[in-house]
Amino acid sequence: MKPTMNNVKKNSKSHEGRAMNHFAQAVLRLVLVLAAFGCAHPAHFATPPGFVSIEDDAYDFRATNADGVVLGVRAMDNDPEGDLAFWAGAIDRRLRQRYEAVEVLEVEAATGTSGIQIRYQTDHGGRLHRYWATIFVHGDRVYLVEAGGDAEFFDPQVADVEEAVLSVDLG
Amino acid sequence: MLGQSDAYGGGPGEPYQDVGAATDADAMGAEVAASTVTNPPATGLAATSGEDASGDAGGTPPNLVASTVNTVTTRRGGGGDGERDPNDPIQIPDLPAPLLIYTADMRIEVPAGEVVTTIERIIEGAVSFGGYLAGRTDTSVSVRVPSRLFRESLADVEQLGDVKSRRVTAQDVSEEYHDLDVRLRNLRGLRERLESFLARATTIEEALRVQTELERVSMQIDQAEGRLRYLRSRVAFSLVTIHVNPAPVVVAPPETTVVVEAPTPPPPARLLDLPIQWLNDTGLGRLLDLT
Repeated sequence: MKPTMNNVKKNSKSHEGRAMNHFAQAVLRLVLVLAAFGCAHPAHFATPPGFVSIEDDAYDFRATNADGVVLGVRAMDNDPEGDLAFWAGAIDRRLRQRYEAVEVLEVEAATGTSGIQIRYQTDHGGRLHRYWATIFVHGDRVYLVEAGGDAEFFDPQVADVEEAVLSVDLG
Repeated sequence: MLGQSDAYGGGPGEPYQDVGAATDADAMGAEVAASTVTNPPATGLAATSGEDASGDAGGTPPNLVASTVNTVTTRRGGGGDGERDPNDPIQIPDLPAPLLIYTADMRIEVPAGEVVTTIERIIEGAVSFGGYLAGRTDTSVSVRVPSRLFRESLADVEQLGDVKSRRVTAQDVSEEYHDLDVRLRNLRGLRERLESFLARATTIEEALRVQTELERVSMQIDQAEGRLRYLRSRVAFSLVTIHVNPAPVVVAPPETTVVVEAPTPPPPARLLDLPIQWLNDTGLGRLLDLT
């Protein structure tokens, strides 16, 4: 059958629709790529002197020194949606089952986000260990910055650890 | 047979039981319709035997060895061999009075530190009553006091401390005494006869045989006399033994401290069991695991 005018018009309209559909999909992919690589980068902090960063899937960013003092940050969905007090309370309740809370501090990240830092200690493998949990809630994410290690090695690093924790970039 | 009676727990001044007296009175009352018996009120040793008491050891008080004369006023109702004047006493020469040996055992408490001085005062009291010390230890003393002052002596001791126990015993030795008395009289009669036999002995053999018998009888007389002297002494002087104990020091009980047990702590708060997995992964274990 030969193409008629009607058929040509119909075909012409069909080609235009498919072209528009491809364009929309391309724009959407671009938006998603930008969102993935531009606006929502993983949280991280400034690595203290003597620390090396570790790439793994367990944390957004993690660093350790030669003595086993480790810092790490990870972000979780704020689901169920809760404020800083809720998440700090939930984490503290869970941790107090195993650790002794030594100090609770209100902190502020370098980016201006308020957080709560709870400092614990515990016997770990027969030795006293420190463990700090610093909680931030930003956007729809809950950020947990952790620092810990053998007290013998952690305590001399306290200043650097504090600085590193508050330098956290929440993404 | 010896009658014996114990009197326990009587209060101060309560008369001890006079064993035997009632029996004698009853016996007499059976014969006499109505009578008034006049006896010396003191504990009586009725030396009816005529035994010479002057030589008794221990210095028996005169009233204890004096022969008792029972004066009975009798009123018989009608008949008989004529009315007797109520005021005309009749003589009952052989109404025996009971011979009782009194023994007292007391336990008193005195303030701590006054045991020795209390014992000294007991001895002094006994001497003032005409008695004497019979024995003594660090915490007890035995004294003999005239039986006629037995009650007074006990009352005097009771004033010296807190009486914790008292025991008074009366031992009736009447029967033994009178048996001995009769036996002694018989022995003396026998001795007199033997002495007369000895005087009339014609041969040496006969004289020796009588002499041997005479010695045997004399020995029995000595034994009987000794026993009678012992009984008279015991009847005349009562033995009082006092145990003097220091009163226990009363220690004030320490102030009672009321210990209030701490209330049972409440159970731990129920944990928030949020269905959030990452909360369970929080902690040193995960952080320090670098593998």
